[in-house]
Order: sequence, then structure tokens, then C-alpha cells
Amino acid sequence: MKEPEQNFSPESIDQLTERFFGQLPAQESRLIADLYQAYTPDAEEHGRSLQRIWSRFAQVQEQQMPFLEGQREPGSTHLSSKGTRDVSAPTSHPGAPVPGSFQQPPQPLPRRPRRSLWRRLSGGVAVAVVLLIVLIWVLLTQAFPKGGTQTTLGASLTLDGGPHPDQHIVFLVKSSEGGQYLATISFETYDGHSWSNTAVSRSQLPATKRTISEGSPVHLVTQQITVVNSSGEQQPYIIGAGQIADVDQPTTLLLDKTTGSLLAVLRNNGQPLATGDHYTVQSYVSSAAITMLQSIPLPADAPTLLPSYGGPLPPTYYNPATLRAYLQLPKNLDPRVLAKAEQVMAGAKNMYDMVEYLESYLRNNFTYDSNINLPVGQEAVSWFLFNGANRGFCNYFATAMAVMARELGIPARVVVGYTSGTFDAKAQTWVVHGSDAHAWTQIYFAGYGWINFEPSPSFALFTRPL
Amino acid sequence: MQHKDRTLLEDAFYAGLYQRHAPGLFAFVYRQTASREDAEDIVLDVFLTALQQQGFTTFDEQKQVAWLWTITRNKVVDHFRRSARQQHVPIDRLADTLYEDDELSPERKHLKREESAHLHRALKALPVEQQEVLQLRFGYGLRCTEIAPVLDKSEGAVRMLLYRTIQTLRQIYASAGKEGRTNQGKGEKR
Repeated sequence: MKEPEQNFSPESIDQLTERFFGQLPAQESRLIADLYQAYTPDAEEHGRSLQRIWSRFAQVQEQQMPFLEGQREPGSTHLSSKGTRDVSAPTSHPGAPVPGSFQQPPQPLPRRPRRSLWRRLSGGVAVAVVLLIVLIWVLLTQAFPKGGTQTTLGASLTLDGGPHPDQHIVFLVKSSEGGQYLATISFETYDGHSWSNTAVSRSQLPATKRTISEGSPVHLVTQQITVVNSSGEQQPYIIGAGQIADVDQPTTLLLDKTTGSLLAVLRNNGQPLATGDHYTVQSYVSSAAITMLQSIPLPADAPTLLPSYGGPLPPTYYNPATLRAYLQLPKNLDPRVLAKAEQVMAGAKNMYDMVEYLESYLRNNFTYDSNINLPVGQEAVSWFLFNGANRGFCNYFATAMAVMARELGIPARVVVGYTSGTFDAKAQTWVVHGSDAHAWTQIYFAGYGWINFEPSPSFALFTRPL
Repeated sequence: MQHKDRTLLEDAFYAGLYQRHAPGLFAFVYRQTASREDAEDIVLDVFLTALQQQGFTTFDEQKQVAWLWTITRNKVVDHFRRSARQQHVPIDRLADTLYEDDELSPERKHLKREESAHLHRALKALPVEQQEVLQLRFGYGLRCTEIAPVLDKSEGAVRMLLYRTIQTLRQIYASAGKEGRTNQGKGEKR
């Protein structure tokens, strides 16, 4: 065996001792793996402490924003009943004891007399702000209930008949990394026939600021996007290759209220995007290798739970809020969906493999067909899986995969946007047509964040480092 | 102004801030106070102070980090003033928290047992400082820049310390690999 003496140096020591660096000779990587293993008890203790502190911190934060609870729209209430049924049930309160941790009653909050006045003052203003936000949101969703001609764009995604193919060019994209899907908005709540986001808050993102990546490792992909034809898109969505990091102009972020997850980004000036508009957007795109993702346990098997956003924490922790939101299922879902999901994932050794089995099951056993008529009153996934003659289009594939994953306790959501389009080599530009509008599935891996999957047959699988 | 539009973005801000810095801050406080409960209280207090600090979210990252560490150090000092009992971390306890028994963790089964037995003996035999740096790196997942303030060393010194420690451990694995795994104890130098 060669001695890679030169590989180890004080300068590169951080990288070389990363948990999943994966470029060391077998012996070295075994040493590193053994060291992580040896210090697992410390890691777990440390994680539990961090979780306890965060729970207490979140409690205080919540107390400072009491209005959030009352303002939640009715649609979101079932999230905590049905959606939490298995994995996240014990953690449905931020201050609740963490499974597997020491018995810790919800901490009495530290007394901080100075803040109560502040809280009262800010409370009134904040209530007004939130009411305004809700009002704007309601107005917007009322005004553009289906997002125009494309079924895949808008404030909700309804499963019904096929999309109307639109051969107009909608965007020209110059990308620092070719072939990226372009995400418009992601959806959290599935009610049996449509996807929506039940608890949304808005925040301003100045051109100089950047969002925080929800996972790591990620790399930034830069895209210059020119609007050619704003085909049916009523809201000024900024599209990006992944979670948008920054835009070269002020924007409004639509955030999931409970998880803080970024759902979509809107241009600020209120005007629909029009021909000739252009912007530069940077997005966080996951660099996670398959082997890394395979090491992530199901939420049910994760030793303890930590707050969201992955990042530098040990990559086996799930934020309870993420689980509450993204394990939600409609009431009275056909039990055959769970049975089928369990059958499909049989033999899978880890969460990633389970998800891949679901993906290939849908890709291999169903045919892409946009001429679909979902009978009125039918739950879409059940109908698609068992009564739809094994045919459907992207919305159905993406929904089926997300719902089956959720049935297995895997956090999932549906994203709509566009495929990468076609590459014009001469212009070094990706040309995106209206007919490239698409929907796909994202699975949440602790630490790594939202990872794309493509359950629709005839669309290329996402490539990942092995 | 910060108060008026408190938003989820701000929550996301604090979640991100917490994720980036709480691991290091907690490691530091725990090492100083030697009490997990006290350390948790202090770190919570630091982040609550940040929550109240006007304009904190507008600081640049460098200033935020400096601010967090200053407040943390002050809180630790306050803590000692109040409790008037100053302890240092019982670092020799660290090695005992390591897995003694391979059976404890199923993942170990694919690893070479003898090497890891070597490793465990070697870890316990390491100087305290080296044990600490390993714990911070592999247990708490901190990088060298984050370990530096915890151990009150320069980043370069931490890199060198971690590098040397890993080199020592590598020899154990190298000798175990070269000379067959029957040759126990060979690599256990210290």
C-alpha cells in the first residue's frame, strides 16, 4: 500500500478528517471512520445538549411571536393531527423532551423583565404586519388561483387534466453548470387532489443579502436568466437551480412558516416578468454523493432530533418542524398506498435506497401520458397507482412518489418549475419552452437538505457524484 | 426597525447562526464549566442576548462571531463569579466515554476489530491535549477554526496539533496493516 504521506498536511487536515471525505486510501479512511465511531457518545451528548438549548430558545422566540399561532390558516391544522402520526409525534412541541435524551421537562423560561415591554410593543406592530401579509397572500392566491394556463405553476398545484403544451420559448438561461432543473415553487401540503402551502410568510431579501443554505455540502450555481415570454406565469417568480441563495435585485422570499424552508422567490416590483427582463440568480445545489446520502437514517431511526438546516451538525438529525410539515398526509388515504410503498421498498438497506426503489418503481411500471382524466372526488395517488391504467404525467408521478415516501416516514415534497430545456451550443444557452414546465419530487435528507428525484419516466435521472 | 418586521427570515437567521456557532460555543463553555447543565444555560443565555441585541442581524458575519464569543466569555466569567466554584473539565473522563465494546455499535462489525482495539488503547494513552482535539473534531464535529477559540490556541497551532495526533494514530493503522493483524501493540507508541 502506498504511503500517501503528502496527502496529510496541517493545512488540509480539516478536509481530510471530514466524515465523508472519501478520497483517502482505505487504511486512512478506516482510521477516520473509527475515530468518528469512537467519539459517537460524545457526538450524541453534544447533539442532545444543542437540541435542548435550541428547544428552549425556540420557546422564547415563539413567545415573542404569539400571533403566529392564531394566524395560521385553517388548512394547516390537520398537519399536527394526521401528519405527525408516527415519527414526529413525540416532538410536536419545541420544548418537548427529545426522544432518547435525558428526561427534561419543558424548561421554565429564563426571566427577562426587560423584554416583556419590548414584546408588548413589537407585538402590536407585528400582528398588523402579519395580518397584512395574510391579506396580500389571500388576495394573490385569489387573483391567480391556477397560475394561468400551465397546471404546474401557481400558488397551488392541482392534479387534473394534462398541461396545455406551449411551444413558446419562456426563458433563455446561461448557467455556470449545465443542465439544471429550474425550480419555481415547492409545495408542502397535499389534500388528496392538490398541493399548497398552508402557512407561508414573506420576507424581503435585499440584493446584497443571501439566504442560508438548508443543507450541505452545496455549491453555488450562477444563472443569467432572460425572460422571452412570460407564458401564463402570473406571479413574478424568480427561477433558480435549487434553493435560491441570492438575486441581483431585491426580492420577496416565500418561506414555510413552520420550518423556515424557502418555497419560492418573487421579484419585488410587483410587475409580472415580461419579455426582455433579465436577472442573475445564484442557487445552492447539493453536492451530496450517493454514498453520503445512503448513510442518512430514516427520521424514525435518527438518534435524536436537532433544529433544521443541516449545516455542520452531525448529519443524522431531523428538525421536528420539518417532519411535521413534510410527513403530512391527507386524511383517509387509501391504505393500499402504504402497502404498495412497503412492498416496493422491501429489501432496501437505507433511506436513500428506499427512495430510489420508489423512483424506479414509478419510472418502470407507469407510462407518461398527459391525456389524463381524474374522476371527480378521487384521491389522485390512489387513483393513479391502482385505477389509472398505469398512466399519468409529471404531477402524478411527483405526487405519488412524495406521498409514498411520506407513508414510509420519509419527508418529501413536490417542486414545480422547468426542466433544463435544450442546449443551444452555438449560443451556449439553455432554451426553455413552455412545454418544459415540469414537476418532480424532493426528499429531505438530514444535514444534506432537499435532494431532487425524478420519478417521471422518459425524463433523465438526476446525476449525483457516486 | 428590527423589531417591527420580525419574520421567519429572522428565525431562519437565528437557526443558521445557532447551527454554525452553538457547537463551538457550547464546547467552549462546557470545557470551562464542566457542568453540562450550566453550559446549556449559559449558551441559551448568549443566544437570547443576541436575540435582544438591536441590529444584531445586520452585523456582518465576522462581527457576529466576535460578538458571540465576547458575550460567551463574559457569561462564563459571570457564572464563576456567581457560583464561586471554578472547576476545570475532568478531561481524563473523556476516554471512558468511548465505546469500549464493539458490540455496542453494529456499524463496527465491518471494521477491523484489532485495529480499533489498538485505536482505543492508543486514544487513552494520548496526552490530554491530543484527546481534547480529537474529541472536538470527531465528537463535536468542529473544524480547526472553531476549535481554536475553544482551546484558546491559534488556528495554526490547532491544525498542527490535530495533524500530529492523526499522524500518531496513522502509524498504528499502518503497522497493523503491514505486519499482519496479529502483531498487537506494535503501533501503540506514545
